[in-house]
This record gives sequence, structure tokens and C-alpha cells, in this order.
Amino acid sequence: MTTVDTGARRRPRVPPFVRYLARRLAIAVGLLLGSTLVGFLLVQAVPGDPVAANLSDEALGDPQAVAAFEERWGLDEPLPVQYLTYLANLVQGDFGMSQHTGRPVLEDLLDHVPATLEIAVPAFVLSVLLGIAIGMFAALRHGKAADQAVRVGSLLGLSTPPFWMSLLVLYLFFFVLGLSPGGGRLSPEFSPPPAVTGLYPVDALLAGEPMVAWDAVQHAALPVLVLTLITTATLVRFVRSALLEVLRKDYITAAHAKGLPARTVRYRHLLRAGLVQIMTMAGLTFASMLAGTVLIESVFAWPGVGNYAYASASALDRPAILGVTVFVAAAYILINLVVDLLYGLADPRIRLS
Amino acid sequence: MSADPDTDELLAVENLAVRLPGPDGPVPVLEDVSLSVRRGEIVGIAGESGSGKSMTARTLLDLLPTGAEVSGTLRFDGAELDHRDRKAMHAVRGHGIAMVFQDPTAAMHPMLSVGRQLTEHMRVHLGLTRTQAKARAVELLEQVRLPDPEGALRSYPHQFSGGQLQRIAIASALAARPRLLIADEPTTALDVTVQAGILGVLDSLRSDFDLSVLFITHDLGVLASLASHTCVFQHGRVVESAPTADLLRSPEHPYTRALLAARTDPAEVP
Ligand SMILES: Nc1ncnc2c1ncn2[C@@H]1O[C@H](COP(=O)(O)OP(=O)(O)OP(=O)(O)O)[C@@H](O)[C@H]1O
Ligand SMILES: [Mg+2]
Repeated sequence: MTTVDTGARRRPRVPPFVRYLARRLAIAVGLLLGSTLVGFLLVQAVPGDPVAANLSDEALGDPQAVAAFEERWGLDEPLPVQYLTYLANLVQGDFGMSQHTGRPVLEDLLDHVPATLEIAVPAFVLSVLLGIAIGMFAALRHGKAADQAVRVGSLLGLSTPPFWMSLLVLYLFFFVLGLSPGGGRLSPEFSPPPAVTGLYPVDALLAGEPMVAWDAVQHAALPVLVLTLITTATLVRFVRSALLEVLRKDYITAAHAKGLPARTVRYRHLLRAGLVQIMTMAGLTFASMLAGTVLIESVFAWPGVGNYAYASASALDRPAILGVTVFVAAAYILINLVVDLLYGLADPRIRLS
Repeated sequence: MSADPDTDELLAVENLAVRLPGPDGPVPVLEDVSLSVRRGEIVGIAGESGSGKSMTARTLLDLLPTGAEVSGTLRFDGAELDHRDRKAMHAVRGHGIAMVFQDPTAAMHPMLSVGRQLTEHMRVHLGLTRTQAKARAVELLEQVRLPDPEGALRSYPHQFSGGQLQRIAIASALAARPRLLIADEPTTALDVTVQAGILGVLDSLRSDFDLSVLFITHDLGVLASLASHTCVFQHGRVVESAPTADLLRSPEHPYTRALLAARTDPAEVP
């Protein structure tokens, strides 16, 4: 084995996979920094006076309070210095105060992000499983009636506007069937459980209140359903075409030629090869779910990131807009990093060279 | 070699015709193909690119694209080879008839270790344990003269050259003890010395294990010292079929003569 021997003779001191990860990590940090800069520059375009917007009328009348505010955010300084001040505050966890809620932006995010996670995580897990199962089912029946049915179904799911689908689902399950308790995260008779994870069903169970947990699950069910339907439709199409591409490869024919059981070829050979691409797509999908799905959240009165972003934008709330932007960028970058890590673990060509 | 053709025969293909689905209806790719291989015999298939050599190989193992129409008789080891009998086909694939694909790089799964790809069908067909299968894989890699077989089992396809992969592919094809090996241009991508090595390996396997080989090539000269019988393909048909020595000495079909004349190295033609 000439190639392997050569590798052994000039063995690099750092394993290739570690170098690969270090490079990805460096890129992630750079991207994160870049996204704060872009976000910062973009909110400069938001009309309005930040001092007037952030201080109460009472504080505005007090020159000392105004000066203190300007000093804290470096508002009397040139733009580059303002950016550096923002960055310095950011790394200390200070995102500034939200104008429309009157609370620190970080606290707002810590309230809204778990709400989004509460519907995004189950919807993500469900749609990845369904997407792979249905996409593979269709790919293995390429061109047959079942494949056509899947294609039409996923196209239908994709072309239905999320807002419209949310209304339909709400109408059906709430008004017609009476199976859903309606919008929001909890029924009014319950109060939110003490925050540990911020996820109501989990926190309620931790607090020993199964009734509250069950109520929270029932409230989450419909937004999860809509999000799952839409995401599954995207993933099915992607999985199907990724697997069709793999099915054309010689190594799949070669696996059949070896007399392996169809199941082995399907899961060990076909899915294994397609998984790398599917992971990338799944990561992007999850990131977009975390960015919040404004239209779904507003129909179900779900206090997630999307609703917060919408409210912040309507109120021209600079710190909040910037806070959401930085959070969403960080989520994308982090998920990408995880995907890169899994990518390296799954593909020996990345892991070993 | 026994004189009785019936007990000696391992593979018989009679009047095979294959049509593949095309944009304007079925396209014939094989017509009236007949050939046979005896136990311990190497039979050559020669012909230009696109003449249907690989399609013949794929038809035997039922690896044609969906929608292919196949007619004719296939007999393997005394029994009819029925593609609709899925259980029987699973047993034949790899165990009865094994195949070395034309492009060794494309025929190996890029994300599965060489060890796994060499042992998985052994375990299915021969019922070996993981340890037994691994030991046999090491033996096979030694047989095809790949250095450091133990290390190779832990490696992945991208860590090998084309020639090394071709040897690994041959080892993998032999893993489940097939009686017929179909080698689809196993030496085309290799340089002359490696090519000679592989041909040597195939011939010793034939004499040591009574293995039959269907050797596909577009180069008639390679068959001279290897195959006892040769079929020449053109446009999906067998245009000439004769003992290799006769065929090379006095080719009857003009296409065979053209193929011979196209050979660049006349020294290899006896
Ligand atoms: N999937 C397919 N659908 C339709 N026609 C095909 C398909 N694959 C191959 N063919 C046609 O079948 C014929 C025989 O192809 P085959 O691969 O058997 O040639 P070959 O003799 O192996 O050539 P080469 O020496 O280039 O490998 C060719 O004319 C080719 O165009
Ligand atoms: Mg071919």
C-alpha cells in the first residue's frame, strides 16, 4: 500500500481530524465576529434616536442619565468605537435594554428561545425521521406510482403557505374537532413552572406537576404539527434526490452483486452514503427553525423568537433587533460547526486526509 | 478436462437478448448471445467499447436497470438461473457468480472500510464469525499480493491507488468462494507490470481452486496466454466464438481481424 505507507513515514504531528476541526472552529469564530459587525451596521439604518428610544421620558429630562447612557454605549464616539463598545458589552453578556419590553435583551431572549426550542426540537426530530423514511421509500420506487404520490404530496406541503396551513390546522383541531386547547403555551388556569430549562413540559415534570406538563404538550402539539409538515416536505424532496444520486453509483450495484440482503444494502450502503448530504440539509433546516417561524408563531400566539423579532422590528427596537440578529447568526454558525464535525466523523476522506 | 460436456459445464447462455428502456421505447443492447464456460476454464469476451460486454455480465447477476427486458436461457451449475426467484439470486450473487467491476474506484463504497467491504458478504454466504472472516480477508489480500493486509483492512478506499483497489476488488469477489468470477476489464486501468501480476493471480486461482473466469477485455492480445476460449462481441452480438489459439491464428470474421490489426504490440500476438 504505497499511499498508506507514505502517510506513515511523514506522519503529521497533529491528527488530520483535529486540524480539520481547528480550522472549522477558527472560521466559525471569524463568521460570528463578522455577523455582529454586519448586524451592527444594519441597525444603524433603523430610523430614530437611540437615546430617546431607550430612555424613559423621565430619564430623558435628566442630562446625567442621558450622558451615562451615551457613555455606556459610546454614542458620542465615532462608529468604529461604538462597535467595539458594543462588542465589549456583548462578550460580557450585555445585549442592551429592549425598548419595547423595558427588560434586558438577554433576558427576553432567554424567555423566547426556549419557547421556540419547545416546538423546533420535536418538529426537527420528527421531520428528519419522516423525511428520511419517506424520501427513501420514494427513491427506492423511482418512477412508480408511490414515488409520484410522494412527489405530489411534498410539493403540496411546500407550496402551502405556513400561515394558511396554521389556520387550517387550528380550524380543524380547535374549532371542528375540539381536540386542541388553542393558542399560547399554557391554559390560563396554570402558571408557568419554575424555570430550569425554560421548556415548560420538562420544567413541569421536574416540579412534579404532570397536569401542567400535559397541558403544555397539548399546546405545543399544533405548532409542532405544522412545522413538521412543512419541514418534512422539504426534507423528503431532498432525501429522495440525494438517494437517487447514490443509487446510480457503481458501489451500490457492486453491493447487490455481492449477494448482500436488500436491507443491508439499503441501510449500510445507500443511507450511509446519502447521510452526509442529508445532515447538511437537516442542519440548515434546524437553524431556520431556530430563527423563528413568525407566521406559525403568530397564528398560535406562541411567544418564540419569531414573535419577538417581529415585535422588535415593529417597534424599531435597535438593541432587540441586533440581539435577535446575533442570536440567529450564532445559531446558524454553531449548527454548521456541529454538522462539520459529524461530516468529518461520517466521511473517512475528511477524517483521514 | 473431462470429455462429457454436460457435467463439465458451469455456465451456459443461450440466445440471450436484452432490451433497455430508452426515451423512444426499448433499445436492444444484446441480441442472440450464446456462450458457455466450463469448470476451471477461463473464457474471454473481447469487443470494442459499447459492444455489450458489461451488459452481458450484468444480465447474469440480474443487475440491469429497472425496466430491462430479458429473454433467452441462462443455466448455472446445472440449474436454470431464474431472476424472479429472489432467494436463489441472492445465493448466486457473490457465492455462485462474483463480479469484479470495470472501475475499481467507483465500485468501492467510499465511507466503508476495506475490511468491512471484504468481509460482509463472507459472513452472509459462508456464515463466518467476525474473526474468521477477518482471517480469511487477510489470506485473500496476501493471495492478490497486496502488502500489509492487516493495515489495509483498517483503511478506506481513498487511501489506495487504482491498481491496489483492483486487487482488493478481486480479493472481495473471491471472498465468498464463488465458482465463476466475472472480471470486467480488470487490467485496463493498470500499467503493464501490475497487469501481468493480476493475470498471474487469476490463472493460479483457476488451477488451484478450479475457479472459472469470464474475462472481459477490449484487448484480444491479453487473452492469448490466459483464455482457452474467446467470444468476440460487436454491436451486442457474438460475431465469432472459437478456441483462443485458433481465433488468433486464423480469425474468420472481418471484425476480429480488424481488432487484431488494431493491436499496438504485435509481439504479444503469437
Ligand atoms: N442504462 C442504460 N440504458 C440504455 N442503454 C445503455 C445503458 N447502459 C449502457 N447502455 C448501452 O448498452 C450498450 C452496451 O454497453 P456495455 O456497457 O455493455 O458496453 P461495453 O462493451 O462494456 O463497453 P466498454 O468497453 O466501454 O466497457 C452500449 O451501447 C450502451 O450505450
Ligand atoms: Mg464495459
